[in-house]
Amino acid sequence: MSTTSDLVATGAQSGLPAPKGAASHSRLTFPRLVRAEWLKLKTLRSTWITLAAAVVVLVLAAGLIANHLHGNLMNPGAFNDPGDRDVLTAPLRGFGVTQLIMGVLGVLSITGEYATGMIRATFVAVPKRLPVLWAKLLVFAVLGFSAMLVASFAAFFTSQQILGSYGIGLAAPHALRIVVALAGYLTLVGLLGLGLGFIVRSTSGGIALLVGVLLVAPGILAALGTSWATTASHYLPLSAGQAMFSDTPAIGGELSPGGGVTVMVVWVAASVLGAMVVVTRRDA
Amino acid sequence: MIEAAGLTKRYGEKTAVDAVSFTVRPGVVTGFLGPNGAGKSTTMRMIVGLDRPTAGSVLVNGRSYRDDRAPLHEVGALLEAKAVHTSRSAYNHLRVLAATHGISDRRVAAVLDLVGLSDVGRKRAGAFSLGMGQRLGIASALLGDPGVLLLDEPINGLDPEGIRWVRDLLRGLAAEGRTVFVSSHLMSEMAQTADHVIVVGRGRVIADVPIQQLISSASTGVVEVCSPRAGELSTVLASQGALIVQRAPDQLEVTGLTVGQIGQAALDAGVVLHGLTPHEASLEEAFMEMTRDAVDFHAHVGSATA
Repeated sequence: MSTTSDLVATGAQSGLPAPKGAASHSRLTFPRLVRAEWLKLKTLRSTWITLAAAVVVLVLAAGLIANHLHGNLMNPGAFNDPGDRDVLTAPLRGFGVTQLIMGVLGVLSITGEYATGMIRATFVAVPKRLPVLWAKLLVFAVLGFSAMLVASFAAFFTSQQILGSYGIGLAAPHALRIVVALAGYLTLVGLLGLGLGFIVRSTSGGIALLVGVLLVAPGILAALGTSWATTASHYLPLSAGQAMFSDTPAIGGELSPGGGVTVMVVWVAASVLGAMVVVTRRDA
Repeated sequence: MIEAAGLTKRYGEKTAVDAVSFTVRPGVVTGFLGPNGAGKSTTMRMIVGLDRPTAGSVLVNGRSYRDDRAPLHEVGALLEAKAVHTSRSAYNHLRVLAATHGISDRRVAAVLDLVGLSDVGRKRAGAFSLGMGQRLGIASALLGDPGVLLLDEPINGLDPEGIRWVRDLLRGLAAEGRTVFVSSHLMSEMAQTADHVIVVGRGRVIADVPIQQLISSASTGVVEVCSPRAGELSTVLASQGALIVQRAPDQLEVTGLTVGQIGQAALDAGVVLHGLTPHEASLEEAFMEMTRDAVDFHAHVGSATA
Protein backbone atom coordinates (compact mmCIF):
# COMPACT_ATOMS: atom_id res chain seq x y z
CA MET A 1 0.00 0.00 0.00
CA SER A 2 1.26 3.41 -0.88
CA THR A 3 1.42 6.18 1.62
CA THR A 4 1.22 9.92 1.52
CA SER A 5 4.88 10.03 0.61
CA ASP A 6 3.83 9.23 -2.96
CA LEU A 7 1.61 12.24 -2.89
CA VAL A 8 4.31 14.38 -1.43
CA ALA A 9 6.52 13.24 -4.25
CA THR A 10 4.02 14.30 -6.89
CA GLY A 11 3.06 17.36 -4.93
CA ALA A 12 6.65 18.42 -4.50
CA GLN A 13 6.79 19.45 -8.15
CA SER A 14 4.06 21.99 -7.48
CA GLY A 15 6.07 23.85 -4.88
CA LEU A 16 4.42 22.63 -1.71
CA PRO A 17 3.87 23.52 1.14
CA ALA A 18 1.56 26.01 -0.50
CA PRO A 19 -0.21 23.61 -2.78
CA LYS A 20 -1.87 25.15 -5.76
CA GLY A 21 -2.17 22.03 -7.83
CA ALA A 22 0.19 19.49 -9.32
CA ALA A 23 0.33 21.42 -12.55
CA SER A 24 -0.97 24.93 -12.24
CA HIS A 25 -0.94 25.25 -16.03
CA SER A 26 -3.60 22.57 -16.29
CA ARG A 27 -6.96 24.16 -15.85
CA LEU A 28 -10.49 23.72 -17.01
CA THR A 29 -11.04 24.67 -20.66
CA PHE A 30 -13.89 23.99 -23.05
CA PRO A 31 -11.88 21.83 -25.47
CA ARG A 32 -10.77 19.72 -22.50
CA LEU A 33 -14.35 19.41 -21.35
CA VAL A 34 -15.37 18.28 -24.83
CA ARG A 35 -12.64 15.64 -24.67
CA ALA A 36 -13.93 14.52 -21.27
CA GLU A 37 -17.48 14.23 -22.58
CA TRP A 38 -16.21 12.29 -25.56
CA LEU A 39 -14.37 9.94 -23.18
CA LYS A 40 -17.57 9.52 -21.18
CA LEU A 41 -19.48 8.29 -24.23
CA LYS A 42 -16.55 6.30 -25.54
CA THR A 43 -15.90 4.41 -22.31
CA LEU A 44 -19.45 3.14 -21.95
CA ARG A 45 -20.04 -0.04 -23.89
CA SER A 46 -23.74 0.77 -24.01
CA THR A 47 -22.99 3.74 -26.29
CA TRP A 48 -21.57 1.50 -28.99
CA ILE A 49 -24.22 -1.19 -28.58
CA THR A 50 -26.96 1.42 -28.84
CA LEU A 51 -25.44 3.15 -31.85
CA ALA A 52 -24.87 -0.18 -33.59
CA ALA A 53 -28.48 -1.13 -32.91
CA ALA A 54 -29.67 2.20 -34.33
CA VAL A 55 -27.66 1.63 -37.53
CA VAL A 56 -28.60 -2.02 -37.96
CA VAL A 57 -32.31 -1.40 -37.36
CA LEU A 58 -32.43 1.42 -39.91
CA VAL A 59 -30.69 -0.66 -42.57
CA LEU A 60 -32.77 -3.73 -41.77
CA ALA A 61 -36.03 -1.77 -41.97
CA ALA A 62 -34.98 -0.21 -45.27
CA GLY A 63 -34.10 -3.64 -46.64
CA LEU A 64 -37.43 -5.17 -45.59
CA ILE A 65 -39.43 -2.27 -46.99
CA ALA A 66 -37.42 -2.36 -50.22
CA ASN A 67 -38.02 -6.08 -50.53
CA HIS A 68 -41.76 -5.60 -50.08
CA LEU A 69 -41.74 -2.62 -52.45
CA HIS A 70 -39.87 -4.62 -55.06
CA GLY A 71 -42.62 -7.23 -55.00
CA ASN A 72 -45.31 -4.60 -55.30
CA LEU A 73 -43.56 -2.75 -58.11
CA MET A 74 -43.85 -5.86 -60.23
CA ASN A 75 -47.60 -5.77 -59.55
CA PRO A 76 -48.54 -2.05 -60.03
CA GLY A 77 -52.17 -2.53 -58.87
CA ALA A 78 -50.96 -3.13 -55.33
CA PHE A 79 -50.54 0.58 -54.44
CA ASN A 80 -53.18 2.71 -52.72
CA ASP A 81 -50.96 5.70 -52.08
CA PRO A 82 -48.60 6.91 -54.81
CA GLY A 83 -46.11 7.84 -52.12
CA ASP A 84 -45.73 4.17 -51.25
CA ARG A 85 -44.12 3.49 -54.62
CA ASP A 86 -41.45 6.16 -54.08
CA VAL A 87 -38.29 4.06 -54.34
CA LEU A 88 -36.22 6.84 -52.76
CA THR A 89 -38.18 7.68 -49.60
CA ALA A 90 -40.35 4.61 -48.92
CA PRO A 91 -37.48 2.39 -47.65
CA LEU A 92 -36.15 5.22 -45.48
CA ARG A 93 -39.49 5.62 -43.71
CA GLY A 94 -38.60 2.70 -41.54
CA PHE A 95 -36.79 5.09 -39.19
CA GLY A 96 -39.40 4.79 -36.42
CA VAL A 97 -37.41 2.48 -34.15
CA THR A 98 -34.08 4.14 -34.92
CA GLN A 99 -35.40 7.56 -33.93
CA LEU A 100 -36.48 6.09 -30.57
CA ILE A 101 -33.08 4.48 -30.05
CA MET A 102 -31.32 7.76 -30.81
CA GLY A 103 -33.70 9.71 -28.57
CA VAL A 104 -33.17 7.25 -25.72
CA LEU A 105 -29.39 7.42 -26.19
CA GLY A 106 -29.69 11.20 -25.89
CA VAL A 107 -31.77 10.93 -22.71
CA LEU A 108 -29.42 8.35 -21.18
CA SER A 109 -26.26 10.33 -21.85
CA ILE A 110 -27.33 12.73 -19.11
CA THR A 111 -29.84 10.81 -16.96
CA GLY A 112 -27.29 8.03 -16.58
CA GLU A 113 -25.17 10.56 -14.70
CA TYR A 114 -28.02 11.57 -12.44
CA ALA A 115 -29.02 7.96 -11.76
CA THR A 116 -25.51 6.89 -10.74
CA GLY A 117 -24.41 10.06 -8.93
CA MET A 118 -21.71 10.76 -11.55
CA ILE A 119 -23.32 14.15 -12.13
CA ARG A 120 -21.95 15.36 -8.77
CA ALA A 121 -18.41 14.45 -9.79
CA THR A 122 -19.04 16.20 -13.10
CA PHE A 123 -20.35 19.38 -11.50
CA VAL A 124 -17.60 19.49 -8.89
CA ALA A 125 -15.12 19.42 -11.79
CA VAL A 126 -17.18 21.95 -13.76
CA PRO A 127 -19.02 24.07 -11.20
CA LYS A 128 -20.34 26.49 -13.80
CA ARG A 129 -22.33 23.55 -15.22
CA LEU A 130 -23.56 25.15 -18.47
CA PRO A 131 -20.36 24.20 -20.34
CA VAL A 132 -21.24 20.56 -19.55
CA LEU A 133 -24.49 21.00 -21.45
CA TRP A 134 -22.71 22.56 -24.44
CA ALA A 135 -20.01 19.90 -24.49
CA LYS A 136 -22.55 17.08 -24.30
CA LEU A 137 -24.61 18.59 -27.13
CA LEU A 138 -21.51 19.01 -29.28
CA VAL A 139 -20.14 15.53 -28.69
CA PHE A 140 -23.52 13.91 -29.17
CA ALA A 141 -24.15 15.90 -32.35
CA VAL A 142 -20.84 14.88 -33.92
CA LEU A 143 -20.92 11.23 -32.85
CA GLY A 144 -24.65 10.85 -33.53
CA PHE A 145 -24.50 12.51 -36.92
CA SER A 146 -21.50 10.41 -37.96
CA ALA A 147 -23.25 7.19 -37.00
CA MET A 148 -26.52 8.25 -38.58
CA LEU A 149 -24.79 9.22 -41.83
CA VAL A 150 -23.38 5.72 -41.97
CA ALA A 151 -26.82 4.29 -41.19
CA SER A 152 -28.62 6.49 -43.67
CA PHE A 153 -26.24 5.83 -46.56
CA ALA A 154 -26.18 2.12 -45.77
CA ALA A 155 -29.99 2.07 -45.70
CA PHE A 156 -30.12 3.89 -49.04
CA PHE A 157 -27.63 1.67 -50.83
CA THR A 158 -29.05 -1.53 -49.32
CA SER A 159 -32.60 -0.68 -50.32
CA GLN A 160 -31.63 0.44 -53.81
CA GLN A 161 -29.63 -2.76 -54.26
CA ILE A 162 -32.67 -4.82 -53.28
CA LEU A 163 -34.89 -2.80 -55.62
CA GLY A 164 -32.68 -4.00 -58.47
CA SER A 165 -33.76 -2.51 -61.78
CA TYR A 166 -36.21 -0.18 -59.97
CA GLY A 167 -33.38 1.22 -57.85
CA ILE A 168 -31.87 4.66 -58.23
CA GLY A 169 -28.44 6.11 -57.61
CA LEU A 170 -27.28 8.84 -55.26
CA ALA A 171 -27.21 11.22 -58.23
CA ALA A 172 -30.99 10.94 -58.65
CA PRO A 173 -32.97 14.11 -57.84
CA HIS A 174 -33.24 14.77 -54.07
CA ALA A 175 -31.43 11.52 -53.21
CA LEU A 176 -28.34 12.96 -51.54
CA ARG A 177 -30.33 15.65 -49.73
CA ILE A 178 -32.82 13.13 -48.38
CA VAL A 179 -30.19 10.67 -47.21
CA VAL A 180 -28.34 13.44 -45.36
CA ALA A 181 -31.64 14.90 -44.06
CA LEU A 182 -32.58 11.55 -42.53
CA ALA A 183 -29.25 11.42 -40.69
CA GLY A 184 -29.80 15.00 -39.58
CA TYR A 185 -33.30 14.31 -38.30
CA LEU A 186 -32.22 11.25 -36.32
CA THR A 187 -29.39 13.25 -34.76
CA LEU A 188 -31.75 16.09 -33.86
CA VAL A 189 -34.09 13.60 -32.14
CA GLY A 190 -31.09 12.45 -30.10
CA LEU A 191 -30.32 16.05 -29.15
CA LEU A 192 -33.98 16.57 -28.24
CA GLY A 193 -33.69 13.53 -25.96
CA LEU A 194 -30.55 15.01 -24.41
CA GLY A 195 -32.31 18.30 -23.71
CA LEU A 196 -35.36 16.53 -22.25
CA GLY A 197 -33.07 14.37 -20.13
CA PHE A 198 -31.45 17.48 -18.65
CA ILE A 199 -34.91 18.85 -17.84
CA VAL A 200 -36.43 15.83 -16.11
CA ARG A 201 -33.14 14.27 -14.86
CA SER A 202 -34.62 10.77 -14.71
CA THR A 203 -34.30 8.08 -17.35
CA SER A 204 -37.90 6.90 -17.19
CA GLY A 205 -39.27 10.45 -17.18
CA GLY A 206 -37.04 11.47 -20.05
CA ILE A 207 -38.01 8.50 -22.20
CA ALA A 208 -41.70 8.99 -21.38
CA LEU A 209 -41.51 12.63 -22.38
CA LEU A 210 -39.64 11.74 -25.58
CA VAL A 211 -42.15 9.05 -26.58
CA GLY A 212 -44.95 11.45 -25.73
CA VAL A 213 -43.62 14.17 -28.02
CA LEU A 214 -42.57 11.82 -30.82
CA LEU A 215 -45.34 9.25 -30.94
CA VAL A 216 -48.22 9.98 -28.58
CA ALA A 217 -48.81 13.64 -29.44
CA PRO A 218 -49.36 12.95 -33.19
CA GLY A 219 -51.94 10.29 -32.29
CA ILE A 220 -53.80 12.60 -29.92
CA LEU A 221 -53.88 15.44 -32.43
CA ALA A 222 -55.04 13.09 -35.18
CA ALA A 223 -57.79 11.76 -32.93
CA LEU A 224 -59.01 15.29 -32.21
CA GLY A 225 -59.35 15.84 -35.93
CA THR A 226 -60.07 19.58 -35.68
CA SER A 227 -58.39 21.91 -38.11
CA TRP A 228 -56.16 23.53 -35.49
CA ALA A 229 -55.10 20.06 -34.34
CA THR A 230 -54.15 19.15 -37.90
CA THR A 231 -52.22 22.40 -38.26
CA ALA A 232 -50.49 21.85 -34.92
CA SER A 233 -49.56 18.30 -35.88
CA HIS A 234 -47.45 19.64 -38.75
CA TYR A 235 -45.22 21.26 -36.14
CA LEU A 236 -44.53 18.10 -34.16
CA PRO A 237 -41.04 16.58 -34.50
CA LEU A 238 -42.25 13.54 -36.42
CA SER A 239 -44.04 15.64 -39.09
CA ALA A 240 -41.12 18.03 -39.24
CA GLY A 241 -38.82 15.07 -39.81
CA GLN A 242 -41.02 13.66 -42.55
CA ALA A 243 -41.03 17.09 -44.19
CA MET A 244 -37.23 17.14 -44.00
CA PHE A 245 -36.90 14.10 -46.22
CA SER A 246 -39.88 14.56 -48.47
CA ASP A 247 -39.26 14.71 -52.20
CA THR A 248 -42.75 15.87 -53.11
CA PRO A 249 -43.99 19.47 -52.83
CA ALA A 250 -45.57 20.32 -49.48
CA ILE A 251 -49.39 20.31 -49.58
CA GLY A 252 -52.19 21.39 -47.24
CA GLY A 253 -50.11 23.32 -44.73
CA GLU A 254 -47.36 20.69 -44.55
CA LEU A 255 -43.87 21.98 -43.98
CA SER A 256 -41.29 22.30 -46.72
CA PRO A 257 -37.98 20.46 -46.17
CA GLY A 258 -36.39 23.70 -45.01
CA GLY A 259 -39.41 24.38 -42.79
CA GLY A 260 -39.01 20.89 -41.33
CA VAL A 261 -35.39 21.59 -40.43
CA THR A 262 -36.38 24.88 -38.83
CA VAL A 263 -39.13 23.31 -36.75
CA MET A 264 -36.85 20.47 -35.59
CA VAL A 265 -34.14 22.94 -34.64
CA VAL A 266 -36.71 24.99 -32.70
CA TRP A 267 -37.78 21.84 -30.81
CA VAL A 268 -34.19 21.07 -29.90
CA ALA A 269 -33.53 24.72 -29.00
CA ALA A 270 -36.60 24.77 -26.75
CA SER A 271 -35.45 21.65 -24.92
CA VAL A 272 -31.96 23.10 -24.56
CA LEU A 273 -33.41 26.32 -23.19
CA GLY A 274 -35.34 24.30 -20.62
CA ALA A 275 -32.16 22.37 -19.87
CA MET A 276 -30.25 25.62 -19.30
CA VAL A 277 -32.80 26.80 -16.77
CA VAL A 278 -32.89 23.50 -14.88
CA VAL A 279 -29.15 22.90 -14.88
CA THR A 280 -28.31 26.34 -13.51
CA ARG A 281 -31.17 26.70 -11.05
CA ARG A 282 -31.59 23.31 -9.46
CA ASP A 283 -29.34 21.72 -6.86
CA ALA A 284 -27.43 18.76 -8.20
CA MET B 1 -9.05 28.04 3.62
CA ILE B 2 -12.81 27.74 3.65
CA GLU B 3 -14.89 30.62 5.01
CA ALA B 4 -18.62 30.26 5.56
CA ALA B 5 -20.63 33.32 6.56
CA GLY B 6 -24.26 33.05 7.56
CA LEU B 7 -24.54 30.01 5.33
CA THR B 8 -28.16 28.89 5.22
CA LYS B 9 -30.05 26.22 3.31
CA ARG B 10 -33.78 25.78 3.57
CA TYR B 11 -35.85 23.11 1.83
CA GLY B 12 -39.35 24.48 2.04
CA GLU B 13 -40.20 24.65 5.74
CA LYS B 14 -37.20 22.65 6.84
CA THR B 15 -33.96 24.46 7.62
CA ALA B 16 -31.08 22.09 6.98
CA VAL B 17 -28.31 24.60 7.60
CA ASP B 18 -29.10 27.57 9.79
CA ALA B 19 -26.87 30.66 9.42
CA VAL B 20 -23.65 28.75 9.90
CA SER B 21 -20.37 30.66 10.05
CA PHE B 22 -16.94 29.11 10.39
CA THR B 23 -13.42 29.12 9.01
CA VAL B 24 -11.49 26.00 8.08
CA ARG B 25 -7.77 26.71 8.16
CA PRO B 26 -4.96 25.12 6.19
CA GLY B 27 -2.34 22.95 7.84
CA VAL B 28 -4.63 21.10 10.20
CA VAL B 29 -7.29 18.43 9.95
CA THR B 30 -10.63 20.01 10.78
CA GLY B 31 -13.34 17.59 11.79
CA PHE B 32 -16.96 18.34 11.01
CA LEU B 33 -18.98 16.52 13.61
CA GLY B 34 -22.64 16.07 14.05
CA PRO B 35 -25.36 13.49 14.20
CA ASN B 36 -27.10 12.41 11.01
CA GLY B 37 -29.26 15.19 9.62
CA ALA B 38 -27.22 17.92 11.30
CA GLY B 39 -26.51 19.57 7.94
CA LYS B 40 -22.94 18.38 7.37
CA SER B 41 -23.43 17.03 3.87
CA THR B 42 -25.54 19.97 2.76
CA THR B 43 -22.86 22.36 4.02
CA MET B 44 -20.18 20.46 2.11
CA ARG B 45 -22.29 20.44 -1.03
CA MET B 46 -22.73 24.20 -0.77
CA ILE B 47 -18.95 24.68 -0.49
CA VAL B 48 -18.46 23.14 -3.96
CA GLY B 49 -21.56 24.74 -5.42
CA LEU B 50 -23.69 21.61 -5.80
CA ASP B 51 -26.37 23.19 -3.63
CA ARG B 52 -27.14 26.87 -3.82
CA PRO B 53 -27.31 28.57 -0.40
CA THR B 54 -30.67 30.09 0.52
CA ALA B 55 -28.70 32.84 2.26
CA GLY B 56 -25.13 33.61 3.20
CA SER B 57 -22.01 32.63 1.35
CA VAL B 58 -19.05 30.31 1.43
CA LEU B 59 -15.66 31.08 -0.06
CA VAL B 60 -12.82 28.75 -0.93
CA ASN B 61 -9.45 30.49 -0.79
CA GLY B 62 -11.21 33.83 -0.94
CA ARG B 63 -13.55 33.26 -3.85
CA SER B 64 -16.65 31.41 -4.82
CA TYR B 65 -15.88 27.89 -6.03
CA ARG B 66 -18.00 28.43 -9.14
CA ASP B 67 -15.64 31.16 -10.33
CA ASP B 68 -12.56 29.01 -10.13
CA ARG B 69 -10.68 28.44 -13.36
CA ALA B 70 -9.17 25.15 -12.25
CA PRO B 71 -11.72 23.75 -9.78
CA LEU B 72 -10.14 20.32 -9.40
CA HIS B 73 -6.84 21.91 -8.38
CA GLU B 74 -8.61 24.07 -5.84
CA VAL B 75 -10.83 21.51 -4.12
CA GLY B 76 -10.81 17.74 -4.04
CA ALA B 77 -14.14 16.45 -2.85
CA LEU B 78 -15.40 13.08 -1.72
CA LEU B 79 -19.09 13.78 -1.31
CA GLU B 80 -20.79 10.47 -1.76
CA ALA B 81 -19.39 7.00 -1.81
CA LYS B 82 -20.53 6.54 -5.36
CA ALA B 83 -20.47 9.63 -7.50
CA VAL B 84 -19.38 7.30 -10.26
CA HIS B 85 -21.06 5.91 -13.35
CA THR B 86 -21.50 2.26 -12.41
CA SER B 87 -20.76 0.96 -15.92
CA ARG B 88 -17.41 2.70 -16.26
CA SER B 89 -14.14 1.30 -14.94
CA ALA B 90 -12.39 3.07 -12.07
CA TYR B 91 -9.51 3.99 -14.37
CA ASN B 92 -11.80 5.45 -17.02
CA HIS B 93 -13.82 7.31 -14.39
CA LEU B 94 -10.66 9.07 -13.25
CA ARG B 95 -9.54 9.66 -16.84
CA VAL B 96 -12.84 11.38 -17.61
CA LEU B 97 -12.46 13.72 -14.64
CA ALA B 98 -8.79 14.29 -15.39
CA ALA B 99 -9.57 15.16 -19.01
CA THR B 100 -11.62 18.20 -17.95
CA HIS B 101 -8.43 19.80 -16.61
CA GLY B 102 -5.89 18.25 -18.92
CA ILE B 103 -4.48 16.15 -16.07
CA SER B 104 -2.20 13.40 -17.39
CA ASP B 105 -2.96 9.69 -17.46
CA ARG B 106 0.21 9.27 -15.42
CA ARG B 107 -1.37 11.19 -12.58
CA VAL B 108 -4.50 9.04 -12.93
CA ALA B 109 -2.39 5.91 -12.55
CA ALA B 110 -0.54 7.48 -9.60
CA VAL B 111 -3.68 8.26 -7.56
CA LEU B 112 -5.15 4.87 -8.40
CA ASP B 113 -1.98 3.34 -7.01
CA LEU B 114 -2.02 5.63 -4.00
CA VAL B 115 -5.46 4.42 -2.94
CA GLY B 116 -4.53 0.81 -3.63
CA LEU B 117 -6.90 0.21 -6.55
CA SER B 118 -4.35 -0.40 -9.33
CA ASP B 119 -5.25 -4.08 -9.55
CA VAL B 120 -8.97 -3.44 -9.97
CA GLY B 121 -8.70 -0.24 -12.00
CA ARG B 122 -10.12 -1.91 -15.10
CA LYS B 123 -13.12 -3.36 -13.29
CA ARG B 124 -16.56 -1.79 -13.45
CA ALA B 125 -16.93 0.71 -10.62
CA GLY B 126 -20.46 -0.61 -10.12
CA ALA B 127 -19.01 -3.91 -8.92
CA PHE B 128 -16.95 -2.20 -6.21
CA SER B 129 -17.58 -2.75 -2.53
CA LEU B 130 -18.42 0.27 -0.38
CA GLY B 131 -14.83 0.44 0.80
CA MET B 132 -13.43 0.29 -2.73
CA GLY B 133 -15.92 2.95 -3.74
CA GLN B 134 -14.61 5.16 -0.95
CA ARG B 135 -11.04 4.61 -2.12
CA LEU B 136 -12.03 5.56 -5.65
CA GLY B 137 -13.75 8.66 -4.29
CA ILE B 138 -10.58 9.59 -2.42
CA ALA B 139 -8.56 8.99 -5.61
CA SER B 140 -10.78 11.40 -7.53
CA ALA B 141 -10.47 13.96 -4.73
CA LEU B 142 -6.67 13.77 -4.95
CA LEU B 143 -6.59 13.82 -8.76
CA GLY B 144 -5.98 17.55 -9.12
CA ASP B 145 -3.53 17.67 -6.20
CA PRO B 146 -5.81 20.26 -4.59
CA GLY B 147 -5.01 22.62 -1.76
CA VAL B 148 -8.38 22.02 -0.14
CA LEU B 149 -9.80 18.58 0.61
CA LEU B 150 -13.41 18.04 1.44
CA LEU B 151 -14.31 14.55 2.58
CA ASP B 152 -17.81 13.55 3.64
CA GLU B 153 -17.65 10.47 5.88
CA PRO B 154 -14.53 9.08 4.16
CA ILE B 155 -14.14 6.08 6.44
CA ASN B 156 -17.63 4.74 5.82
CA GLY B 157 -17.33 1.15 4.74
CA LEU B 158 -13.58 0.91 5.27
CA ASP B 159 -11.97 -1.89 7.23
CA PRO B 160 -9.70 -1.06 10.19
CA GLU B 161 -6.63 -1.03 7.98
CA GLY B 162 -8.40 1.30 5.55
CA ILE B 163 -9.48 3.58 8.39
CA ARG B 164 -5.93 3.80 9.60
CA TRP B 165 -4.75 4.52 6.08
CA VAL B 166 -7.26 7.37 5.66
CA ARG B 167 -6.23 8.80 9.04
CA ASP B 168 -2.57 8.83 8.05
CA LEU B 169 -3.40 10.20 4.62
CA LEU B 170 -5.44 13.09 6.03
CA ARG B 171 -2.80 13.97 8.61
CA GLY B 172 -0.14 13.84 5.90
CA LEU B 173 -2.15 16.11 3.60
CA ALA B 174 -2.67 18.61 6.41
CA ALA B 175 1.02 18.49 7.27
CA GLU B 176 1.75 19.50 3.67
CA GLY B 177 -0.14 22.71 4.34
CA ARG B 178 -3.45 21.73 2.82
CA THR B 179 -6.87 22.54 4.17
CA VAL B 180 -8.48 19.26 5.21
CA PHE B 181 -12.16 19.27 6.16
CA VAL B 182 -13.58 15.87 7.13
CA SER B 183 -17.07 15.10 8.27
CA SER B 184 -17.95 12.21 10.49
CA HIS B 185 -20.49 11.10 13.01
CA LEU B 186 -17.89 8.86 14.60
CA MET B 187 -16.48 11.02 17.36
CA SER B 188 -13.91 8.50 18.49
CA GLU B 189 -12.46 8.49 14.98
CA MET B 190 -12.25 12.27 14.89
CA ALA B 191 -10.44 12.26 18.23
CA GLN B 192 -7.64 10.38 16.53
CA THR B 193 -7.63 12.32 13.28
CA ALA B 194 -8.73 15.90 13.77
CA ASP B 195 -6.80 18.78 15.32
CA HIS B 196 -9.79 21.04 15.37
CA VAL B 197 -13.50 20.32 15.33
CA ILE B 198 -16.61 22.12 14.25
CA VAL B 199 -19.60 20.49 15.91
CA VAL B 200 -23.01 20.97 14.36
CA GLY B 201 -26.43 19.95 15.51
CA ARG B 202 -29.74 20.71 13.86
CA GLY B 203 -28.10 22.96 11.30
CA ARG B 204 -26.25 25.16 13.77
CA VAL B 205 -22.65 25.35 14.93
CA ILE B 206 -22.50 24.15 18.53
CA ALA B 207 -18.75 24.31 18.97
CA ASP B 208 -15.74 25.40 16.94
CA VAL B 209 -12.74 24.44 19.07
CA PRO B 210 -9.45 22.55 19.17
CA ILE B 211 -10.16 18.88 19.79
CA GLN B 212 -8.36 18.91 23.15
CA GLN B 213 -10.55 21.72 24.35
CA LEU B 214 -13.66 19.87 23.30
CA ILE B 215 -12.59 16.87 25.31
CA SER B 216 -11.48 18.76 28.41
CA SER B 217 -14.45 21.13 28.41
CA ALA B 218 -16.75 18.18 28.66
CA SER B 219 -14.54 16.20 30.98
CA THR B 220 -16.24 15.19 34.18
CA GLY B 221 -13.48 16.46 36.48
CA VAL B 222 -13.11 13.09 38.18
CA VAL B 223 -9.61 12.02 39.24
CA GLU B 224 -8.87 8.41 40.00
CA VAL B 225 -6.45 8.07 42.92
CA CYS B 226 -4.69 4.87 43.84
CA SER B 227 -2.90 4.65 47.17
CA PRO B 228 -2.20 1.94 49.77
CA ARG B 229 -3.30 4.46 52.41
CA ALA B 230 -6.47 5.49 50.65
CA GLY B 231 -8.54 5.86 53.78
CA GLU B 232 -6.06 8.30 55.33
CA LEU B 233 -5.80 10.30 52.11
CA SER B 234 -9.56 10.40 51.86
CA THR B 235 -9.81 12.28 55.14
CA VAL B 236 -7.18 14.81 54.05
CA LEU B 237 -8.84 15.45 50.71
CA ALA B 238 -12.30 15.70 52.26
CA SER B 239 -10.99 18.43 54.55
CA GLN B 240 -10.06 20.37 51.42
CA GLY B 241 -13.63 20.18 50.14
CA ALA B 242 -13.36 17.24 47.74
CA LEU B 243 -16.15 14.80 47.04
CA ILE B 244 -14.84 11.27 47.43
CA VAL B 245 -16.10 7.87 46.46
CA GLN B 246 -14.08 4.88 47.65
CA ARG B 247 -14.12 2.31 44.86
CA ALA B 248 -11.81 -0.22 46.48
CA PRO B 249 -9.62 -0.36 49.63
CA ASP B 250 -6.83 1.38 47.71
CA GLN B 251 -8.86 3.32 45.15
CA LEU B 252 -10.65 6.67 45.31
CA GLU B 253 -12.65 8.71 42.84
CA VAL B 254 -12.13 12.37 43.66
CA THR B 255 -14.21 15.26 42.40
CA GLY B 256 -13.57 18.93 43.07
CA LEU B 257 -9.77 18.95 43.16
CA THR B 258 -7.25 19.01 40.33
CA VAL B 259 -4.56 16.41 39.86
CA GLY B 260 -2.01 18.94 41.10
CA GLN B 261 -3.94 19.73 44.28
CA ILE B 262 -4.38 16.06 45.12
CA GLY B 263 -0.68 15.34 44.54
CA GLN B 264 0.33 18.24 46.78
CA ALA B 265 -2.09 17.17 49.51
CA ALA B 266 -0.71 13.64 49.41
CA LEU B 267 2.87 14.92 49.68
CA ASP B 268 1.96 17.22 52.58
CA ALA B 269 0.31 14.33 54.41
CA GLY B 270 3.18 11.97 53.59
CA VAL B 271 0.93 9.52 51.79
CA VAL B 272 2.39 7.57 48.91
CA LEU B 273 0.46 7.55 45.64
CA HIS B 274 0.46 4.61 43.22
CA GLY B 275 -1.77 6.23 40.69
CA LEU B 276 -3.22 9.63 39.88
CA THR B 277 -5.33 9.62 36.70
CA PRO B 278 -7.57 12.40 35.45
CA HIS B 279 -10.56 10.74 33.85
CA GLU B 280 -10.93 12.40 30.46
CA ALA B 281 -14.25 12.18 28.78
CA SER B 282 -14.07 10.42 25.45
CA LEU B 283 -14.97 12.49 22.48
CA GLU B 284 -18.10 10.43 22.25
CA GLU B 285 -19.11 11.60 25.73
CA ALA B 286 -18.09 15.16 24.96
CA PHE B 287 -20.15 15.09 21.84
CA MET B 288 -23.21 13.61 23.54
CA GLU B 289 -23.03 16.27 26.22
CA MET B 290 -22.62 18.98 23.63
CA THR B 291 -25.49 17.94 21.41
CA ARG B 292 -27.78 17.08 24.30
CA ASP B 293 -29.21 20.59 24.21
CA ALA B 294 -30.01 20.29 20.55
CA VAL B 295 -31.65 16.94 21.13
CA ASP B 296 -33.53 18.19 24.22
CA PHE B 297 -34.69 21.18 22.26
CA HIS B 298 -35.96 18.83 19.59
CA ALA B 299 -37.78 16.63 22.11
CA HIS B 300 -39.24 19.64 23.83
CA VAL B 301 -40.63 21.05 20.61
CA GLY B 302 -41.99 17.61 19.80
CA SER B 303 -43.87 17.27 23.07
CA ALA B 304 -45.15 20.83 22.96
CA THR B 305 -46.78 20.33 19.61
CA ALA B 306 -48.03 16.82 20.36
